[in-house]
Amino acid sequence: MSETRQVSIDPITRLEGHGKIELFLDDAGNLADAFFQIPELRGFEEFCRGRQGEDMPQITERICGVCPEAHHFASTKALDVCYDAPPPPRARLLRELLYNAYTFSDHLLHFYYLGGPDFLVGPYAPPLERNILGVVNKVGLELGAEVIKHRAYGQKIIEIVGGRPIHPVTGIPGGQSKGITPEERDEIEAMTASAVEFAKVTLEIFHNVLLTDESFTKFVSDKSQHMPTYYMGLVDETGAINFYDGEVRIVGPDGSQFAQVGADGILNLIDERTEPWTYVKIPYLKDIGWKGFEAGVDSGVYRVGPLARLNVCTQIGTPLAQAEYERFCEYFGGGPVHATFAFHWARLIEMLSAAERTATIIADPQIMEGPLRTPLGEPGSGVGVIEAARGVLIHDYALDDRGRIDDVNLIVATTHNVAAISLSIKDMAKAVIKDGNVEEGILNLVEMSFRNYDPCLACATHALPGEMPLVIDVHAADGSLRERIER
Amino acid sequence: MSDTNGSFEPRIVAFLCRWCSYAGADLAGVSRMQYPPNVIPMRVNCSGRVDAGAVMKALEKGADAVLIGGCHPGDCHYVSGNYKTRRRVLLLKRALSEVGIDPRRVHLEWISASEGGKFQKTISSYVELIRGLGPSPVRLARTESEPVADTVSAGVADGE
Amino acid sequence: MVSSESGKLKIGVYWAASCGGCDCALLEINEQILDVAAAADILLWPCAADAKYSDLRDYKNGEIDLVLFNGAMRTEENREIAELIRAKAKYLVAFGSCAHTGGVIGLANLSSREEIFARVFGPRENWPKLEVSKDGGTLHLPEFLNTLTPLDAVVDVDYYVPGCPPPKGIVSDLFAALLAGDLPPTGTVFASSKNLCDECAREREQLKITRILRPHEEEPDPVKCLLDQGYVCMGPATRGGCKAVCPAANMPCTGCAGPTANIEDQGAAMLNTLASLVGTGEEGEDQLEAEDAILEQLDDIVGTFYRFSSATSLLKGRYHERNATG
Repeated sequence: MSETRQVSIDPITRLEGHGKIELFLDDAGNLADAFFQIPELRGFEEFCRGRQGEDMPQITERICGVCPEAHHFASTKALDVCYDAPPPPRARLLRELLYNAYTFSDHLLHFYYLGGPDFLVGPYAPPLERNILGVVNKVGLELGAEVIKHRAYGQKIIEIVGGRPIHPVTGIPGGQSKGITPEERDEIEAMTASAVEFAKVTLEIFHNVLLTDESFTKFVSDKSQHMPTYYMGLVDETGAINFYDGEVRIVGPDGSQFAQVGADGILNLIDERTEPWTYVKIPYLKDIGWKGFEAGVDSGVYRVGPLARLNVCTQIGTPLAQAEYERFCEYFGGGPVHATFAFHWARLIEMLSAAERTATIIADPQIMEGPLRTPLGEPGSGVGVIEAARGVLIHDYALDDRGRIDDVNLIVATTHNVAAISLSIKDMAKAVIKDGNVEEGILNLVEMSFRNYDPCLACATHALPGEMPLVIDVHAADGSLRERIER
Repeated sequence: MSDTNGSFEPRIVAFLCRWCSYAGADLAGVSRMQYPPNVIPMRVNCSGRVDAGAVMKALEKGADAVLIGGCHPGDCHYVSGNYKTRRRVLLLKRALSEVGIDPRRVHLEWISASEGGKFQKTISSYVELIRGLGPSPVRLARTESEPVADTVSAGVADGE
Repeated sequence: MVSSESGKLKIGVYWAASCGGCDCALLEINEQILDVAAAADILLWPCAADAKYSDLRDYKNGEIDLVLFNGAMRTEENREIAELIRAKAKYLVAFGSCAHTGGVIGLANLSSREEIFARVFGPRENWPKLEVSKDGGTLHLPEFLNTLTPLDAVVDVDYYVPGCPPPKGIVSDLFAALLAGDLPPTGTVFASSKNLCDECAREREQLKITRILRPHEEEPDPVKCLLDQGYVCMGPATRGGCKAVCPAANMPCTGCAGPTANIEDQGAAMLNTLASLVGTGEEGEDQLEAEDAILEQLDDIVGTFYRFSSATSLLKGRYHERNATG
């Protein structure tokens, strides 16, 4: 009987939310299995029932304080449909302005504060230095101050349009609760111009620091870190990525289209399963089916987020980011790109595109003219779909005749990625853990595999069951499958 | 006091305004009208003094029900305190319903200083009503180690 | 309070059942974070730095000068780490609404654990287990507690910073006081001692509320008090210190900073306020029906009046009548 040595990474760090990784090593000290566990759950799906519909943008945004804007506007958009009240152009522009500023800010946060430090400071740097402060030490105070300043710009735009920098309040069914003053407009315009420049600088850093560093490029090229999955993302009518709105497009590992549906069609394409050792549920493509934690055309595992969005789109939609996207495609020799570490590059391309969009939107005079609200119809039901920084986010509501939540269904960005994250962790652990060597730097490499996805685990533990069938595998103590129970 | 329904004795806190309902209670007393001893009277200057927090506190401390006695509409010594109380009690009942407490566990009654008989009847029928409802679930939950409700383990009565 | 070895302060940040917003709120001080980094070593901050639980256990008792602890006590792990941090910290700060009053997620107390699990996972056989044997090893999950509580239900707390999340001005002041070695007496709440109305820019006439409006129903007058106009604004029952940014954005206050010091139950205080204000303009028996009609317009008392404080309300959760006869 072989001895399993169990090594824990607890908690995993430099992400949003609670998680741990359990590594099982065999006699030889090599990886036998790896488990990605999420030990948190708060139960939003239960206590949202009975709440007033219009309170949901402010309640559901407390699912996540890193991406509250995503929930705030997925919720607001669902309510627009519930009340048959599409926002007037001025309100829509305000929402898109805030939303792109959020995308810019959240991606910046990830590159400089969360996942980026592994490369900006170095994966084997002492743990106390692998964070934003270590980044500032390394790149110098001047650049460090620019990092802080531009995150502040993104947050300031959110604050001006949304009322608060974290957990905004202005999204209402049918519009926005307030506009912006001419002074604020001018202030925002200056910030967006600077944001575009800073996004370009960040991409230069990526090219000059990461793409020239073997400790990064080896993971990009290493086949063990390539995962041929399906990809899901929003595209607009030109096939361009769009963070605020669009249709949901799914492509296969070979890049061929698997499906393209509107907001209310997406829930029919996804099933979920549970595992007894984690509080998160695991979605997969229903028509392909769950084949276990594996990737490929026959497995229902799919990915969302920056790399997925670049893989489903036909173009970026903004000129500077488009040029960078073409560089990206050339580097990888055509799509789809399966290299998980390419997420970091894709994220920066999106950061640039989001900045470009804020600059275009603020220049539109319509953002200062016209009504802010559409009159509401009778309460009904509706689905709102949006691209959170981390992936597709869906809010599905049914309101009663007094406008209260009768039923609510959420599928939340990182949840879509849970299976892929588990796979990435296992692939990396298998590649780097040899002969029982689990020193700190090796374990950090394992963590770097999930940091690609910029996970938000407080978000992930709030998918709702809806009417989806659930499958549970019951394992015996020796790991063999004893029973599969399906609901 | 036993907690089984058969011999359950409700404990009811009664906030009575000194100008009307407390005087009515006194009248019932000196007239030797019989009424159940389950009520703990608290004299207040006006029913308007009884805020939602005080009622909740009484329930939290173990009262099975709270009765508020005020002056008839138009008769409040302080002109409109009783109207505020009425609206407060309405909102309070809805709050209690939303958390699963029977809203009848708070009751507002207009009793004037001369209505000793009404006081007697009110108390008698309210005690019977609460006896039928059983102990307050707030009180039952407090007998557990965790002072909150739980579908599975609330209360030890009824031998479930 | 300056630690003797490096001359630098030692601080930590931790999240229990949290959304991460309070961690982001610490970044809202922008470049002031560099002053903090110059003066303090950050020994724990899972969101932004790599210290693990094993590192936390290795610190000496009282070694960390100050820990900013956000999030509520939802799982057994939250409680264990709270107790561990209490031992390792000289001063412990309940940071943000969840640690202070239980937060929005306190509304989960309106359901039992079983109801929540049934809703999330479906039938009981699908529910996660506390311990699963796999391949010769064991996988653990922390227990989801029956009842969510704020931080001070589990450990003694030295300071409170209300808000969801705490506003940047308050956070900035806290750090400035910390770096200057000038923290106020323990027990201090870092917020205004007055209610929100005191700092709200809107003009209040204390009118009667003749109808209840929901925020999306009409465009509010930008100058007048929202409560006067009929929107349910929690301002009267809520601590100030946030500059009343929500009313400035045409949205009523939702009470995230919790009750002022003299209020035990935030929702009850607001119930009282609304009961006093609702009316037709006249009092009298002939007005009662109209008053009832106004009050009828209110929906979701708990979700509105107790949105952030249900875990610390007097009634604290959901109950079940034994003899429900309807």
